[in-house]
Amino acid sequence: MTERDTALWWARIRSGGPQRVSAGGPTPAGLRRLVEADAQAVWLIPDLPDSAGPAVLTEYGVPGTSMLDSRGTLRVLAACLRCCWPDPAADLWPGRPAPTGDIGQVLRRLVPARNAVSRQQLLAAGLRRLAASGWILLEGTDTMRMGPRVASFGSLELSTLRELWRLIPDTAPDRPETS
Amino acid sequence: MTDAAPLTLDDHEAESAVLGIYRQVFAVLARNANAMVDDADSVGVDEAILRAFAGAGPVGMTIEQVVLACPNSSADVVRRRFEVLRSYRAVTRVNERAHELFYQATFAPYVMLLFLRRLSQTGGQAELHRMLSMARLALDDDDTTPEVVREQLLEMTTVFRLLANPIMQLARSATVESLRAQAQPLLGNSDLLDKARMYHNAAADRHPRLLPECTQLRMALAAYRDAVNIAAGRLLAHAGKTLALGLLPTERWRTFARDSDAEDLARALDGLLFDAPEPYFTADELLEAVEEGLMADSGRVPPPRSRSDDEQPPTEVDPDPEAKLLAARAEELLAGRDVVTVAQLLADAGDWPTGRRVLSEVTAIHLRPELPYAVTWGDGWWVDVTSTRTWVSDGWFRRDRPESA
Repeated sequence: MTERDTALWWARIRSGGPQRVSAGGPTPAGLRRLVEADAQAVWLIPDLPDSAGPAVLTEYGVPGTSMLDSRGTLRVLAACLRCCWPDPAADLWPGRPAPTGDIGQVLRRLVPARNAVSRQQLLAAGLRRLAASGWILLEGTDTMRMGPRVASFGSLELSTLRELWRLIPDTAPDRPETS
Repeated sequence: MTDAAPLTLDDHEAESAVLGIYRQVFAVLARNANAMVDDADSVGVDEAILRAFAGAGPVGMTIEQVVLACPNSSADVVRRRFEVLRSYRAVTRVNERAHELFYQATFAPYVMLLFLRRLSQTGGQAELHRMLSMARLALDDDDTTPEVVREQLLEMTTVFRLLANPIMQLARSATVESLRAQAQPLLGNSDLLDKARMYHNAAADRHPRLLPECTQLRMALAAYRDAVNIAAGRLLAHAGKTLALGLLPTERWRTFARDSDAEDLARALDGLLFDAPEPYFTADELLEAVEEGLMADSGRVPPPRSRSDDEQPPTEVDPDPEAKLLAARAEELLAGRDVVTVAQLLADAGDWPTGRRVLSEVTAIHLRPELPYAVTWGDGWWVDVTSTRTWVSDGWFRRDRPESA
């Protein structure tokens, strides 16, 4: 892979988010391969050290990309994490697909002040925004799974996320592994 | 304007533009004939008259025939214009003899009219181009004498000076709005400048004796270029980058935006790469948001209320402590009496500083309508040259207005 191709891949990722390629291709320098659960395709995501990731922006006080209703969207993402991460001891990627109804149930605990209609709006809008920026992947109309971007969390952050996972009560009683 | 009603604003503008040029050129002539051109209709009548003559053939026309041939204008107007045309010899008698009824028209005024109309529409630049081309042709002609070339060079110098001066004036001292409105037709003709420079070079090559005149022309050209550059610079500085794209008229951009398809429009962004929407969430932010949501169990937080009903209202505060003081002072001054003269009060006070204070207190008491005391002044006048107060007006301080207390 030439330098030009590498630069092109980086530009693609920068302008279009994580890129999904077929499993056989080469890996440009500085990118990480993230294998899908069925091993049929590969996501390319930037493999940045902790000191060069997006966290640097906040360190220097530079405003990053803003997101509409970031608090609500974060709660939707947390609900997704709770539903799609069957075993917090394992890695977050690839997780498992979850129906959006379950996520709505979890979200109900996270936003107790909202009524059903407003919560449904938050869920739909939050899922759409998160899918647009690659945090989650929508499959069909009512199923989703975690997107490739969650793999960019470092080990330190993963422990925080595990704490978060335990913090969120599970509402679906038919999951023996989430007790 | 005799027929103003059916005119639109645009028609009026076009007509007044024609009229403006016409007035400049013919003002001198027409003033001698006591007939200034005072509306755009006159220009039209002139044209109609000349057209009628063109159709009349070599015999010529009488005034009555001319009036008949111009049915769109009233006979009086046609006659008046006919007289004006005759006075500057645009229309002459067929035979120079008394009682000659037939007139014929000369072609030059009509050419002039055509020229003027076009001049007013294009601002004269096309004519300037033609003049330059003709001068260039004349220069290449072997029959042209250096005197003719010198004359043409001087003419061109004058033209460019005249062109440069108003632009420079606008660029220097006019408002940007008027600069934009007026200078635009005069700006942006680099090919005119190129043509003039080529003419200048050719003239200088061919007639080295005319170098001083060539220098004059070159300086005029440079002045024009400077003026255009300054005006354009000022327009650019004021308009910002987006409006300044080549100073194209707005309609051009609008037409482009309306007529192009999405691909054409997107081509403007070729070579640019935009970042994907890529908000980044740290795990801490996630945790914080979730904890906040979990803690907000009680639903809505009641809105903050004022704490006023918790504590006792403050004890009765005297809103006006000064009133009591003044009332006490009034009683003191009256000393049980119902009325006392001001002179008496001043005399009781003794020296003037104390008396002055008494006076001010009395006035303050009077000016408070809620206190039952008043001062009334009379017309009398006490004079006592031996006292410190050499004169005192009649005045009484009295207990009064008991009902308003």
